[in-house]
Parts: sequence; C-alpha cells; structure tokens
Amino acid sequence: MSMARKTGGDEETGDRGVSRRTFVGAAGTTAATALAGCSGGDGTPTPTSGGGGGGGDGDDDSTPTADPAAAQRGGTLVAGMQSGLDGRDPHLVQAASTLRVLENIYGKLVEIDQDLKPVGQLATEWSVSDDDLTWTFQLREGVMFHPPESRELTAADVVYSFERLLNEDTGSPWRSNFTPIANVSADGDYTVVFEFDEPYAPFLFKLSSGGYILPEGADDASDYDIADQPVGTGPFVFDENVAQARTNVTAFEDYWGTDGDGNALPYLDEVEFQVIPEGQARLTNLQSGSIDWAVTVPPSQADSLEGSNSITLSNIPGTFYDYVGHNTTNAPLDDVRLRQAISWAISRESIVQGARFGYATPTQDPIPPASVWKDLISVDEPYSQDQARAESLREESDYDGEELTIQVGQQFPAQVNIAEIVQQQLGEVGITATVQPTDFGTMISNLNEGAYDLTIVGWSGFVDPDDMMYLQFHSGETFNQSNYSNEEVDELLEQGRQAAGDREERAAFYDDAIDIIAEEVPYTFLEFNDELAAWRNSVKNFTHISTGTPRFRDVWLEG
Amino acid sequence: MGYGAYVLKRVLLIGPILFGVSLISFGALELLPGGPVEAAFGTRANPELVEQLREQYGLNRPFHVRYLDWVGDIVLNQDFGQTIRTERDVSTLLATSLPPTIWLAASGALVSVFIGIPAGIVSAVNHYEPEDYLATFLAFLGLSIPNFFLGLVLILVFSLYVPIFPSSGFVSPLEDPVEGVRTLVLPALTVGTAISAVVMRMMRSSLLEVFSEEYIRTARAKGLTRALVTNKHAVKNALIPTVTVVGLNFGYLLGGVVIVEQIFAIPGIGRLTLTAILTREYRVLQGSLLVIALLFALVNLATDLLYAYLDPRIKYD
Repeated sequence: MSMARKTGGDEETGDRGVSRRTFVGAAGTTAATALAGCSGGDGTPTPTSGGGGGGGDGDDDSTPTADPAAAQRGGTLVAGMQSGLDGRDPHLVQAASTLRVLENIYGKLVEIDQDLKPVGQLATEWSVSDDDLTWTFQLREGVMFHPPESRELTAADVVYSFERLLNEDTGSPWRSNFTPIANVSADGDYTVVFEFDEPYAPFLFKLSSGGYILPEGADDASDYDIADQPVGTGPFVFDENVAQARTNVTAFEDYWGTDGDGNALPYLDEVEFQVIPEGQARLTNLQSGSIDWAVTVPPSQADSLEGSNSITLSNIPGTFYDYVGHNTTNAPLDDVRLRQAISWAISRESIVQGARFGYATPTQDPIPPASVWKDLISVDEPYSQDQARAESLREESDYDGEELTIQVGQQFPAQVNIAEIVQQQLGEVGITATVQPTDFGTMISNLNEGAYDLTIVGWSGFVDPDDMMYLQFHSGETFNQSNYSNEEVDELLEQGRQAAGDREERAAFYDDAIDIIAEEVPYTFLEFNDELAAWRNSVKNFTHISTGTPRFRDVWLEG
Repeated sequence: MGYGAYVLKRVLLIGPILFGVSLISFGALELLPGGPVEAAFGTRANPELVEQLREQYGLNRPFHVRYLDWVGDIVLNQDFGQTIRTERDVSTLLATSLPPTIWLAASGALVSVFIGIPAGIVSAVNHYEPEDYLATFLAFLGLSIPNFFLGLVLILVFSLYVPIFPSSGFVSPLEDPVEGVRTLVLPALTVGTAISAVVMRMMRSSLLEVFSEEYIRTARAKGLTRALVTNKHAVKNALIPTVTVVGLNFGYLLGGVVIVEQIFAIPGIGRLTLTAILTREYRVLQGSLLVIALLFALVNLATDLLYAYLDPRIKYD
C-alpha cells in the first residue's frame, strides 16, 4: 500500500523553469498544467487523475484515478479529526489540526502539491527579476471572497494580508517566514510585487505555509469579527464551530475552481470535521460508517485496516521526522566522538519497528522522502548500527561513564518509546543514559536554555530545505537548540537561502552542508513517520499528500 | 441548631472553600515552569515571540495582581478570561463543556442506581448464598474493568457488530430526546458500571446491618413475609447511606470522566481540562478547576441535606 514515488524525475515537466527566471503556476498553458502536476485542462489545481501527476512519471498509484464525469454532487462528508479548532485566524494558528480545517476555507498564493513542490493557487504565474530581488505574482481573476465580503479578490487584499503578517502587533507565529520581505505592493488589480534586500530562495514554500489571504480591512470590518468568522476564498465557507466537538463548513457557491470538465467545485455540500481524539475510537467510527474519513490513524491500529474491503488505508511518507538532539556545547556531548558513537550505536530500523510499528522510513537527513529534493541532498557516509565502531569512538572520547539524560515530551508515547530504545542501544555500547519524560512546554524551555544532554523530539517539516536546515543548523538561529556552529555550514546555508536559481544548483549547497552536519552530529536523524489516513471507499478522488493536509475541494461521495 | 441554620451554615462554607481552591489552582499553575506560549508554539517558539506574547497577555505582571485581576473578573463579570490560543472566551468554553459532562454524570449515576441497588438487595437477602457470590463477583468485575477497555468493547459490540448505538459524539437530550439518549447509553454504561459496584457493596452492607436491627426482628416475628420485611421496612433505611455514596460519586463524575469523554468524543469538561493541561492553557485550567470544585461542593451539600432530611436522627452541629 505504500507509495512507490520517484523523485527527481521531473526535469521534463519544466521544473527547470526556475532557471529560466519564470515560474508558471497552475494555469493557462499546457506546459503549466504539466508543471503543476494536475490534469485539469482549465488550470484548476485539482488532481483529478493520475496522469500527469506525481512528477510526471504517471506511476503514482496513490492518486485516485477518477473521471470527473463520474463525480456525484452533494452530501456531507464527515471527517474524524484529532482535536478541535484552535482558533480561527489563519495568521495566528499553528496547530496542524486547525490548519487542516482552515486550508479548506482560506486561499493562498501558492500551495504544495503531492511532490512537495509549490504550485499556483490564487497566483496563476510568477516571475523573479534577474537580480533575484523582485518577485511578481499574477493573481487569478474572478476569485471571490466568502460572505459577508462577497467581492472579488484583488492585489490590495494580498498586500493587506502580508502587511498584517509582518506587523509585530499581529503576533503571528508565521511572521519569521516573511521578514525578509522589504516591501509588498500592488500593481493594478491583479499583480503583486514583493521586493527583497537579499535573494530569498525559499519564498515560494514560505508562501504556502501561513501565507493565507484575508480580505483587505478584515481587522476593522464592522459586519464580522475575523477572529470568530473566517472569511476566505476557499471552496468551503465556515458555518459553525462547537468547541471540542465539531466544525462545519459548507460549499462556497462562488468558488473559483472547476473540475476538468468545467463543472463548479466543490462537489460536496458540506464537510463536518468531527473531533474524535482517541485513535481507536476514530477507527471504529470509520468502520461503523459514522465518519467517512479519518486523520492520523495510529500506527499501532493501522494493521487492523489492511485488507478491509470497505475502507482504504493510505500510508505515504510524511514530513515529520524524529531525531536525537545533542547539546553540543555541554560536556560530555561537546565531544564530537561521543556524538558520533551515539549515531553509530542506534539502529534506525529497530526504532521504525519498535516505536512506529513499521510505519516510518529511516533517514539520515531532514529531507522528507516524498520531496523532489530527496535525491539531490544526501549524506555521503550514512550511519548504520555498528556497535564496535560506536564503542571504539566512545573509548577515544572524553566520556567517562557519566549518566546522560534523554529528555522527551511525556505526552508523546511514541517518542518516549524511541527514547527507551535509544537508551537501551546506548547501554549496549557502554553509554549510560536515563529517559526523562518531561512536560512538553517545560522541555521546550529546557531546550531553549540549553538545559539538557540529549532529547528525542520531532520536527514537523515544511518542505523547503531551508526550513529543514537553516533554522536548525545555522549559528545562533532560534531553533538551533544544539548550539551547533560551523562557519562553513553557515556559509553554505546562506548561499542556499540566496540561490534562487536552478534547483540542482541550490541543492548542491545543502548536499555539502548535510555531509558536514552528519560528520559533526548536532542531530542524529532517526526516521520520517508515515502519514496515515483512512477513508471509506465511498469517498472518491481524495488526494493524500505528505503534509497530511486534506483538501476536500474535489472530493465526492458515492452512493 | 435547626435544619434551616444548618443549611445556611453549609451554604456559607462554600465561599471559603472556593477561595482556597482558587488560590491553589491559580498559584500552583502559575508557578510551573514552561508557559502556555512555549506549549502553543512548541519547537517553533522563539524567545522574542514568547516575550511579546507574555507581555500581550499580561503574564509578566506580579502574581497577586494577576490573581486579583482573575478573581475579580470572575466574581464581578462571570468572566473567566481569554485563552492564549484557542476559541478565546473561557467562560463560553466552560459553558459549552459543562452540559455534556452533567448529562454523562447524571446518566452514569442513574445506571449505577439501577444496577447497584437491586444487586445489593439480592446480595444481602441471599447472604452467603450463590446469588450473593455471583453479585459480589460481578461487582468486583465491574470495578476492576478499566473504563477505557469497557468503553472500547461496548463500542465494538454495540456500534460495530450490532450497530444499535452511535459510538461517539454528544447530542443534548433537551434538543433531541431520542438521539440524545441513544448517544448517552454507551458512555453512561461505561461510567455507571464501575460506580454500580460501589453502590452495590454499600447497599449490601447497609441492608445487612439493618437486617440485624431489632425492629426487623420484630417485623419478622409478627409473621410478615420476607419480601414485605425487606421492601417495606429494611430497604428504605438501608438506602440512606447509599444515597451518600451515589451523591459523592455523582460529584466525582462531574469532575469529568476524562477517559470516557475521550473515547466517546464527548465534548465535556474532563476533556477540556485535559487539553488545557497539555497545552498549558492556564485560564481554562483554572476556570475548569474552579467550576468543578463549585459543582462538587454543591452536590456534596445537596447530598448532605438530603441525608439529613431522610434521617431525622442526624444532629446538626
């Protein structure tokens, strides 16, 4: 059931457009359609068939191949979610569960497709100036805002949204994604220009996370309160939220998207996001038919769905990885040999099996397996479990038997499990460690203050290598909790951030950086967790993507 | 002291109790390391953002100022404050999550009465006979089966294999009586089973105690039938201590049956509290602790008053 995904095979489809200084989003021309990995000839980003998707190799068996002509209209899809709505303002929310709902309500310039590539959503195409400092986006025409705005989206709304994100008073957790923007301005109704002081290569990816577009003046609107009533451009309109219980959204009649035959989307009348926190209960509800679709199937339960003839279980490599974080400035872990010993001591495969029930992929780097970057960025000398080597490195090091603590968030049983496996495997090579399950909030403070030896924690990735590496391994960065510092790595990461050119050219910087990082081990990368979702077979045309964000715009219910 | 004065005294005592609870819940939580901002933003919390939000939410003011501010708003405006990240109004959150929990607690208590009291009577009447052993065995079984297991088994059996009852959600019986009761059956059975064991044991022992009293011997000596003696004379008196047990357990259930609410996806106060703990939503946690304490105190009071009313021998002092 796992997806055989070829990456890096998309040269033909125009990803080198980057070097031609013109990106084209999901609109207009045939070439653009191929690039966006969608088959809707009219340019909607609707992955209505397998052909042309998945990097153009057409072998993507996880894409539901469905004929839009067969689509049925109407009905309410009930989606089982892990937790309730955690706020309604997309600029302020960061909880994945909430963003999964808001993604269906709000629009953004660019979204991430199945290959974790940016494709146009509200932007139809864009270009970068020769000096890489000016990005110009063409907006889709005829995009309407939900009531009570009920008016067309223009460049002024985009400008407003980014000024709002950048305003410190907004307090947006996404702000740092956009701080390199020096100026954003409208040029007419359908053109937005972003100016930078320095080239900012990851910009497209950043737009896809957190860059939701709100109507201009939303904060001062007199007929609605944007904090309570989302007003977006997405396929569904916010209807009602009952705290801890459910969120209902209804089809937006004036949604801009259409399917391959030109029929209006969405097909569904309504989506009810129902909160069922307990994983087993979520599956039982799916089996009994009281929900149609379930998010985040617990790996421990996934086996029970394999072979079911009424339910589809989909597992694809996700974007969330676990790692062992080393505090590189405190003794004894300031000794690189000890960190290397730890990396050689651990069997990633036993963690995949023991803590993730086989639903994970071992990794040596932070690049998600489904990403088009995966083949371009890799460690030359990967680690594997080699206890003899681990022991000799441990003997060479200054380590003399002190007990190391492994801090881990106590509310994450799988990570506690990983910590225990790591503890045991370290013990086998003569490194003593204790597992210290800690309240997550407390643990994060400890990590920020450097009050730890080792930690097991995860990074839920966005998909650009910059987001996966700059924030963690550049000296002095906020999320560099290992206090790792290497001038050469810093320089490579800066070059990667600025190289807005060809993907391979840009990847080369990260490819070099990851080798140094692997050698110096601020992190021991463990495994990428599978993204598991399940749905009843009556749910048609659902596209499961690695980030786990469900888009219900072109899903229909059969029967 | 008369009954009226006793009631007044008990009602007045609730004030100091709530004051104590508010001080403890507010203080203990505020003193914990790791704040709501860190918990909300996880690995992505950077120090500047944390500082900015702490300032925005007034988390950097002195303890007593924040406490008085909080209590003042509750007492004067019934305003429990705002959350850091969610659905902002804590009062609304509390108001929406209380009814499901009250319904669950009440129906659970009802189940325990309907199972526990008859079982206790059967057990006491057939003292040291097979019926007694069977009832005792079942009671211990009910007490020993963990909630989460029983809940999942009930879901499997009654939602999946024989789909009679829905497996999750909550519909208020006031809005839709049929659907409301249907959604309550499985969770009520789950919480009711464990408590019915306690009720059964209480009923059994107090009935046995009553059986040994002289007036029962007199009744028997008069030649009354066993059934009549039990039903008319004994049960009524044996019920008095049992009422207390049911009342206390009802109060305990009002604190939220976290696991059951979690399994059956009931949007109650237990789940609200749990989520608040995990996300360090202090205002929600403090508010829900206070409300739970208030409810517990009220139920306790009602039980005691009922007890005193049922048993005229009780002295108020």
